[in-house]
Amino acid sequence: MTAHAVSSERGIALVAVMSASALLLALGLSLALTTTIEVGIAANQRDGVQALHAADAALERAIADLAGEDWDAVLAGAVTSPFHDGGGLVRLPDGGQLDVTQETNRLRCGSAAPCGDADMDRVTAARPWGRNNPRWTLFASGPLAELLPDAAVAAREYLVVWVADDPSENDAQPLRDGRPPAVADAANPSNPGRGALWMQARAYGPSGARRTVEAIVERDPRWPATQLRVRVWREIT
Amino acid sequence: MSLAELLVASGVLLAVTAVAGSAAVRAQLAFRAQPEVADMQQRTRVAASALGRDLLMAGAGPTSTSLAGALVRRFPPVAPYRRGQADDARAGVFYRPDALSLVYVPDTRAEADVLHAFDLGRELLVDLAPNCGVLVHERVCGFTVGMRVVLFDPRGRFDLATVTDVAGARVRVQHSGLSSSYDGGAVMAEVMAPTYLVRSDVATGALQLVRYDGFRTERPVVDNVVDFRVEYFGEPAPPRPLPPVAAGDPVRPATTYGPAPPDVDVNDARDAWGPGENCVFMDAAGPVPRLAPLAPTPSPVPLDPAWFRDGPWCPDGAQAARFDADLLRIRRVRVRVRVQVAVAAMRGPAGRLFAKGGSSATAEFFAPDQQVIVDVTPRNLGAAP
Repeated sequence: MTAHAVSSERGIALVAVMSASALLLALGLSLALTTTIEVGIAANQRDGVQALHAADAALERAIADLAGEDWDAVLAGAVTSPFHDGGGLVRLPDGGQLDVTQETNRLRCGSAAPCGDADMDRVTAARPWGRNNPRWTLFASGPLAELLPDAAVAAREYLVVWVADDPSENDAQPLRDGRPPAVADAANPSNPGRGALWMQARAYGPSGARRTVEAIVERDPRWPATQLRVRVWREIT
Repeated sequence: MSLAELLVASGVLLAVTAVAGSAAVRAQLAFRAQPEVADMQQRTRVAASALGRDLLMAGAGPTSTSLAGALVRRFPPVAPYRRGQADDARAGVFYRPDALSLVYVPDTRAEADVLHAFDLGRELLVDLAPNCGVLVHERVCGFTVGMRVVLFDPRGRFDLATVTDVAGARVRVQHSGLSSSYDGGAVMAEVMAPTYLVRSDVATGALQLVRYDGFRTERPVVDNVVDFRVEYFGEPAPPRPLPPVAAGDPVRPATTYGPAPPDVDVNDARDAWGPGENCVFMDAAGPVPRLAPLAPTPSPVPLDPAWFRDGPWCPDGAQAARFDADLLRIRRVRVRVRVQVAVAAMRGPAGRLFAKGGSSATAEFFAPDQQVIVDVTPRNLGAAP
């Protein structure tokens, strides 16, 4: 082998190493992509399920806090749950910010801006009851970790609970429960919404996970005053 | 380089290459199997998510009609057979281990009391009470053409139908047979009535988990299912009537679960039960439940599938669209879904790892079956206190 021949093969090791590196890099990237996507999908599902159960927990806490209260005062916002940090602007677990006041406005009239009476009384497909449309009132809010007596639980969800007069009301007084019908006639002899409240509980979790549940809760003279009955429970999608 | 050195070098090279090649082949097999494993996990997640969402909502009823509240106070929202336009019960099938049907009223504005109903054969003209308005309820809202609805009455009769026309307060619905006239005292509401069941995929022959919408569509949810089993847990206590809320209310207005019986001496001519009786209660100086206590515990107990086929029947045993009153006991549902890898070359011999054997004899190429168990106690199935 001559010196010239040796010099002409210089760099072949670099080519071989680069080829092997490229192959390994492709394999590694492919594996990383697969595992990253799978981990992401699994994490999103976990966060969604946790948010659902967190929202349900908030609902249960709010039901317990509602039991002994004057519901007119609750609907007017004069009475709130002991689990209430005041709402306002809060930081969410995924780093984003939540304006609870704007969320309340969206529920009341579909807009983040403050709602006037006309906005809230407007008849729409989702709110077809006019003067009896629900005027959602903030009742409870705060981090899930503070909802639980054991603060060591690693809970990251932020919870908000709103209450409103239930949809069967016909008294045109959405901030008062179960007054006589606004127009009493044969079709509306009484107010079927008396003793019932509509509730929505929402949990804001990591990675944008949000789950909302709603319930109609009612007082029933057959049970103790501290025991409310859930007439219907639903998840809202 | 001497010949000996060359032979030694070649031997070492061959040995290293053989070891590396062997490892590479094993790694390649495992690498090919892992995406299939991930796919199985994804399919189990889809099954858990779809089943969980529908199961959680099972039994949710209307919110603001005269029959507001959980559906289990009228009829069973969970049943172990297909319900809807293609209905197993009408064919005399009241239990299938591989089917689960659910009924619930979603978040909707389409719910109203029925004032009158006129049966036109396969169609029903329904006059509804107002359910919305500016000051008081003065008109009917929410119902649209194509919407699936449930009609039910306080006596435990229910049917699924489809809205074909809406003209003011009069709604025309299409049905496949009615168990009641629904002429007053009934409720109509938008409904979701999915049935999960397994069927054979015509293209591959493998089993699919499908979601039947209760009407015309069977939508595949998960492919390559090898096992789908549903277990039911139920209320051990028989139903009992609740006292009236106020003086002047009906004597038997409601029950802890199941339809309330008619008042004493009132005979519902639409069923075969005697005066003051229905499928859930007999009358012996007061309403006495026909269902026996199952255990001295308030916790749900396993329900034997044989109990879903032996009566007592609601509305009665002569009705084509009847159901076993024991279905009203269901409080908790456990669903097992087991899926397999689609490629037979990644399945080993049938056994604990594989429900259906494949052609692989190499462990590195195995992608064992995966199973998910969804165990749900639907909120709306809870009996009244």
